[in-house]
Amino acid sequence: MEQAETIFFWSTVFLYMASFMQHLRAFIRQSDKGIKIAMGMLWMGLGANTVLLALHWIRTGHPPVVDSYELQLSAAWCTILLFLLIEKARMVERVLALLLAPITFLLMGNAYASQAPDTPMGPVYATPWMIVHVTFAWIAFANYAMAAAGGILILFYGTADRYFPNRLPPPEQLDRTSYRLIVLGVVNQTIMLASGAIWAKKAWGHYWTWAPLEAWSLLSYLLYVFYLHVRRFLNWKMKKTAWIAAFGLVVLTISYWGMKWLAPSLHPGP
Amino acid sequence: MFFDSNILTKGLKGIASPYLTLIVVAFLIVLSLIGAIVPQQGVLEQTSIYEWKQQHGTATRLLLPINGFAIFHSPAFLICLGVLFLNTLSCTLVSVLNDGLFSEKTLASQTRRLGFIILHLSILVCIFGGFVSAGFRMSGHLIVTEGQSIKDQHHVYPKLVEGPLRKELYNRFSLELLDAQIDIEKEWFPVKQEASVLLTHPPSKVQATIGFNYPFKFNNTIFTLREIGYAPQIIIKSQSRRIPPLNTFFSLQVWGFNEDREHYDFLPLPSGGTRLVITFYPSYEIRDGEIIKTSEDLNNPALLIYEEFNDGKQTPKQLLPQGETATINGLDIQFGELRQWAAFQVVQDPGYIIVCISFWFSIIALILRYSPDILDWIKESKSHGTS
Ligand code: HEM
Repeated sequence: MEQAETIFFWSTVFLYMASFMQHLRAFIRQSDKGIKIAMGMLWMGLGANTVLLALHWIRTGHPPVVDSYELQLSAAWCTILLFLLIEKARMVERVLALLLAPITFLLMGNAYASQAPDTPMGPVYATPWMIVHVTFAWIAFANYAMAAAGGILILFYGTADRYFPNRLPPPEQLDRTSYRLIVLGVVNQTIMLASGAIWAKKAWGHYWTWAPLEAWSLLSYLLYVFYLHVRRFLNWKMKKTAWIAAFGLVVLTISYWGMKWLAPSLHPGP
Repeated sequence: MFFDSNILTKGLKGIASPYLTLIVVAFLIVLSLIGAIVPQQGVLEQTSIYEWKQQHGTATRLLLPINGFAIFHSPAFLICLGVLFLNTLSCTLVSVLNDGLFSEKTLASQTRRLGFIILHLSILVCIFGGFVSAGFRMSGHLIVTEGQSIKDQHHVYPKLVEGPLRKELYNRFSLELLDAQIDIEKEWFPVKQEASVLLTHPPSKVQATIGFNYPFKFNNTIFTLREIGYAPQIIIKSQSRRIPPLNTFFSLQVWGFNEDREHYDFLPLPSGGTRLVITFYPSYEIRDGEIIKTSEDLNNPALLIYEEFNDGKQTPKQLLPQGETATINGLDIQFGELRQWAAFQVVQDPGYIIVCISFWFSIIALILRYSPDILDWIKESKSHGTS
C-alpha cells in the first residue's frame, strides 16, 4: 500500500468504527440527533472508502476487481453505499447500520490480512462479462448483508428490547425488510451466477466445473431458494428465517473470500 | 378444476408437492456442502485427495459409500436432481392445468404468476441443459508450435475429454498454427494475444484468427486461445555421454502475466535421471552477476540452462544467446530457431446454449415475479417509510 492509500484505508476503518460507536451510543440514549450524526459519519467513511478505491485504481492501472484485497474493499464500499442510498429512500431501517458496520470491519480486516503484491489484470478479464459479474456480485452481497443484519436483529430482539425497550422497530417490520432484501439478493445473485458462467465458458470452455467455488456458490444459492420456499410453504417467518439469512451470509462470504482457506481454484480473484 | 378427477392429475399432485421440493433442496444443500468441503476428484490433484483421506480417517469411511469424493457425480446427487426435475415439472403443470395461465384478477398478480411459471420452466431447462452437457460435451486443451499441426505433436497433451454419450470422435479435425502474436501494453486489459490457424475437418477447411477472449466456431467446435509462449529449438549432441541426438522445439511453460511473465520448464534427458532446466529471456541485462529480464520484447533473446540431477545437485548455470552453443557436462546444447507455441481451449458443448437460454429466462422470470413486490416496497417507503 502506498502512503496515501494507507492513510485512507485507516481513515475508512476509523470512520466506520466511529460511526458504529456513535450509533450505539445514540441507540442506547434514544437520541435521534445522535443517530443522524452516526449516519453522517457513515457517509464520510464511504467518502474515504471511495478515495481509497480511486487511489488504488490509479496506482494499479486497473479497476479494483482482481485480488481478494481489492474485492473486499469494493464489497465493503458497495454494501455501505447501497445501504445509505436505500436508507435515504426510507426503504430499510436505519438501525441495520449497527450490524452492517461490524460486517464491514470484518471485510476490511480480512482485506488487510489478504494484502499481496499487486496482481496485474490478466487477459481473462478483458470482457464486459467481468463487469456484469463483479458488479452483481457486489450488489448481491450488499443485499444479503443487509438481510442478515435484519435477521440478526430479529434473533437478538428479545434481549435488546429487554435492556433497551422501544429502540428497535417492530420485529415484523425487520422481518419484512429482511425478506425483501433476500428477494433482491436472489435476483442479483442469479444475474451474477449467469454472467459468471458465461464468462467462464468464454475463458475456460466450461460454464460450471464443480470446483469448490462453484460448490459454495450453489450452496448459498440453494440456501436462499430454500428460504423463499419455506417462507411460502411452511410459513416460516421471524426467527426461523432469520437464522437462514444470517447463516446464508456466512456461506456466501466463504464462497466469495474464504476459498483460499480451503482449496486452490481456477477462479480469478479470491 | 378441470383435471381434478383425472388419474394423471392425482399422480402429478403426489410428486408435485412443495414439501418434496423442500426435502430435495435440503438434501442438495447437504450434498453441496460435502462437495464444497471435501476435495473432489477431477477438481483437485489425486495426491491432495490422498492426503486428505489420510488425515480424516473416520470421515473418509463415511464418505466412501456415498461417493463423497465425487459427490456431484454420485447417484445420490443425480437422483436428487432427477427428483427436483420431476417435482418442478409436475408442480408447474398442476398449477397451469388447474388454474390456467392468467386466472389472477389484477395485473400485478398475473405478472407474479407468469414470473413463477417461467422461472420454474427455466429451472427445468437448466437441469436438462446440464445433463446434455455432461453427456455430450468434448473439451480440453491442445498445444501447438508455429509451423506445426496437432498431428505433428508427439503427444496431444492434455487429451480432450469426451462425455459418455458422444458418438463422434474429436480426432477427425486438425489444427495447424501458422502464426502467434502477443502484444503487451500497459493498459486496463494489457495483453493482446492472437493466433492465426488453419483448421481442417474434411471436407471443410478454414483459415482463421483466434483471439484470447474471442472464441472461433468451426464445425460446432469452439476454439479459444488460452496462452502463448515460446518454443526455442534445442539441439543436443553428446560428446561423451550416451544420449541420442535431440532436435526439438521445446514449449516452455509460462508463469505469471504480462510484463511479469516467466518462461521456464524442465527437459528430461533420455539417459534418465537428469533434466535440463531451461529459462528463456526475451530481453535481459546482467546486473551484479545476475541475469535480469528487462522486457517481453525480443531484443536479445537467450536461454539460461543447467542440468539438474536426481539428488538435487546442479551444474553451473550457463547463458546461451540465440544461435550459439554451450557445453554442459559433456553435452553440446545449441539454441537454434525461436518459435512460439499457442494453447487452445477446444470445446464442443451442445448443452451450453440450452443452459444459456434458461439463464435469460430465469432472470426475466425473477423480474416479472418480483417487480410488483418491489414497486409496492417503493410505494410504501414513499408513503410512510421504515427508518
Ligand atoms: C432450484 C430450484 C428452484 C428455484 C430457484 C425456485 C425459485 C422460486 C422462487 C424465487 C419462488 C418465489 C417465492 C415466493 O413467492 O416468495 C418460488 C415459488 C414457488 N416455487 Fe420454486 N424454485 C425452485 C424449485 C421449485 C420446485 C422443485 C417446485 C416444485 C414443487 C417449486 C414450487 C414453487 C411454488 C409452487 C412456488 C409458489 C409460487 C407462487 O405462488 O408465487 N419450486 N420458487
